[in-house]
Amino acid sequence: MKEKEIKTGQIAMLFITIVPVTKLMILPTLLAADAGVSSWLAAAVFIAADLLVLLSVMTAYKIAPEMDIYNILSRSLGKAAAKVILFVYALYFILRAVMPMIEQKQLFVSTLYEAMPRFAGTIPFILIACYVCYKGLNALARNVNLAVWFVGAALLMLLLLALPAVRFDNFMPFLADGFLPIAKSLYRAPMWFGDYVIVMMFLGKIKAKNNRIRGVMAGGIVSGLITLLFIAVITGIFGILTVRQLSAITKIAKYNITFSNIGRFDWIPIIIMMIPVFLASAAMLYGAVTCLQHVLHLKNSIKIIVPLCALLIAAIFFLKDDLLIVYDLFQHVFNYAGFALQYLFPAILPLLAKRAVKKQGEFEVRYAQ
Amino acid sequence: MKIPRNLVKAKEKIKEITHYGADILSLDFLVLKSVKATLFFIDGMVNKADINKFIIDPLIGNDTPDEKITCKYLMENVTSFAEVSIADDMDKCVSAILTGDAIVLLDGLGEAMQFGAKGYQTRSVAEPPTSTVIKGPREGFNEDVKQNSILLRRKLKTPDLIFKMLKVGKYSNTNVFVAYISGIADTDVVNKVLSRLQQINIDGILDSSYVSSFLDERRYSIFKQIGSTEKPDVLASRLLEGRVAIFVDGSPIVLTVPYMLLEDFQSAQDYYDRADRATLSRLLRFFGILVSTLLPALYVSAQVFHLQLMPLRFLTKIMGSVREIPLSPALEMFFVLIIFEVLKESSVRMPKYVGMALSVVGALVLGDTAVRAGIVSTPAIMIMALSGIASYTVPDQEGTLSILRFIFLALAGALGIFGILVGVVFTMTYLVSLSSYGTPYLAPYAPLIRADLKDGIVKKALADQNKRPRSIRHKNDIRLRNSK
Repeated sequence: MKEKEIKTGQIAMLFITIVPVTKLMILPTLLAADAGVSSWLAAAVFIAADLLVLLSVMTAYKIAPEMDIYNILSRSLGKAAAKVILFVYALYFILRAVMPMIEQKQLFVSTLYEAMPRFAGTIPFILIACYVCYKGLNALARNVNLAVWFVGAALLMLLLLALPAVRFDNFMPFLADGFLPIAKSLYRAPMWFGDYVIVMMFLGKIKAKNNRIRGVMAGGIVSGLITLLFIAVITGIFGILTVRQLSAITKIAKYNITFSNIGRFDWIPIIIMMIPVFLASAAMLYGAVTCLQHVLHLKNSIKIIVPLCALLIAAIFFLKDDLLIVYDLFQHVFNYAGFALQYLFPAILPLLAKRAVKKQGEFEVRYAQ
Repeated sequence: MKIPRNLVKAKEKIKEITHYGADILSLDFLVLKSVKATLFFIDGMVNKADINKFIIDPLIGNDTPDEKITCKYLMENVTSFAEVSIADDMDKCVSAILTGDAIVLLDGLGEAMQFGAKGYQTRSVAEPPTSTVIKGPREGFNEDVKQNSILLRRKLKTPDLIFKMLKVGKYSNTNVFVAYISGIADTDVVNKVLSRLQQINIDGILDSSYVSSFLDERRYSIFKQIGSTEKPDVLASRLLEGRVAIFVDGSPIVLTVPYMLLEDFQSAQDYYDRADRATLSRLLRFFGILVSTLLPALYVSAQVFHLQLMPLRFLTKIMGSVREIPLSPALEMFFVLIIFEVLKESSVRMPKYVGMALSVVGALVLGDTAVRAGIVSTPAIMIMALSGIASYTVPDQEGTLSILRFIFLALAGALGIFGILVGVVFTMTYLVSLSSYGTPYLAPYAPLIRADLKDGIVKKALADQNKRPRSIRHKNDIRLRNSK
């Protein structure tokens, strides 16, 4: 992995490119299972929490712009604690990297393919995600620079095709069962949010004029709003039936009838939107590799990426066709990890950064004396 | 090696080094009736009339001078040749003779006079067949490096335009010129180019493509990494953007670095036309690349895996056409594309007078009979034709597009749309990580350089492009002052 800097604009584009798309495959159904027609409200809560997380991480960046996550943790909590935390994060990012792959395969299998060879949808995906990860942060950022134009156009096209079918009475009854269904939804779905945590792994590599964070925050807000808009549109189209719409994104467009005289041109934007799914997975793998590099003291990332790639492929062989088992784990076991790693820890990161800067200052004074 | 003072020995040395080559002629005469001299040249490479009139006649002369005869004296007082210098080294003399200069060796001096009397036949300046324009300059480079440098000099009449000459190739001794504008081009890029050229240790350089492969940053990439042009106006504009040019004697194609993919979307015509028209052309070229690379793959994946993507009427037509075809869609498309590549290859190599017959046989007879025989379907032929024609919207990338077309076809045949996506992401990642002499390959889009978008796929008017592209490293940013 070639370590280079990422600009704040590229981080913003990364959010806009990967965040909405990865939220539109399974998540609307999942949220609707508990929150019903108020699923957009559950999404709004998550998005707001995510933005606070982003603000917290970027505050840490402002406090210690030159420090990477390992520096912050090791100086504030000690090297051993830093390694333990980063190892846990590495596992978390590996799980997060697998999610887009499973969702994409699920979407393809349930729509475009009558039968997809067993490993055809997974092994090439893993190889490509690992390749992007190997090429590094710079390649990921530039990929996003390219993809954002096409993904933006695809999202717009899909939205325009979907909007005429939205019915506002589908949002009713609003909060008929109070906040409990939303709370249930919030309990089950955290692993589908919290994408901005990845910025923690960019710390120390962010290039910004005067350490400004406005661009990143704007990217976070825009990506959050797009996500919210699409979840609302899906709810507005399907209402209480959203829960039954697996891969709802393929059914929201105006011309979604198979074998029409127009053809499924709504698939053009959907297919384009599958490109960032690879990038989302690669971004998470990048996070995992960065963590493991610090834990194992390895500069050469290829020594981590190759075994990681082999491990993921082996896991696919082991799980066979039971990839959906992972879903259950995400909803019932890993959701606690999601809360802790996505929301609690990033919330205290500015405090840790402050402490790290203070310790660094003390060290420099002592060294100077 | 020093030139022997004794003329007989010096003559013998030259003949020995050139292995008594039959094409190297020599003429003995007396300079100003007092000093023995020998003129060496290669028959057919020099202008004999100039040699007679401006070298031999004055040197033979009528008067004996009062002072001692030296090369310097003869240069200043006797000959009237513009391009003359003193050579004091035997290797330099031989090299000069072999490149078409005339050498006069004088007895007892240990030095020679070198006359730039080249006079061989070169192709005239004509419009290059690879980059024709409707509006704009039509002159193109030819195989003579000096003439090519003059064509550039006529466009850029500035002392800042610098030419550096190198000899590359052990046996070919090919003249290679490196040209750049000293106030604009980045010194590091110039030095890197010079250093790479100096490191080339090869028997012969016969064309600029030989040099190009040594300048590539990634030697085994299928993607072009060095820019090229046959037009002086295009070259001048590239130098004005901060690039460095490499002229190779014997090649009409001049190389330029740094290179970025966008260059091949920019045609010379774009700059002589209105910006909106240029934008439309560039969008069409971009669309052409997508069609050329992805259309056969999309057709096959739709037919094998995703029938529902096609409109119903279109689908019934296609199904009707392919019903009797014995090959699978992917194999059928491979077959058709290979036939297309074979026809293309043979039409390039075939003598012109059989070319017409070949196109009739290829396009009409082969295509028509293959469809009638039920080996391939009409849609497959149509897709192949569209894809093939579209690749010529960006002719410099045609070869690469052919390879990519086959790769995407294989991926689509095996994995459908998902395979195409895998290919797209891989290609994107590979391309974004390429760079040429410090310039990102996909600049100004990846990384996004907003200022350079003015001359991107969407082109703005020349008056709006007041700064040089930031994608290319250069010394001087401003290219348009006081614009209103």
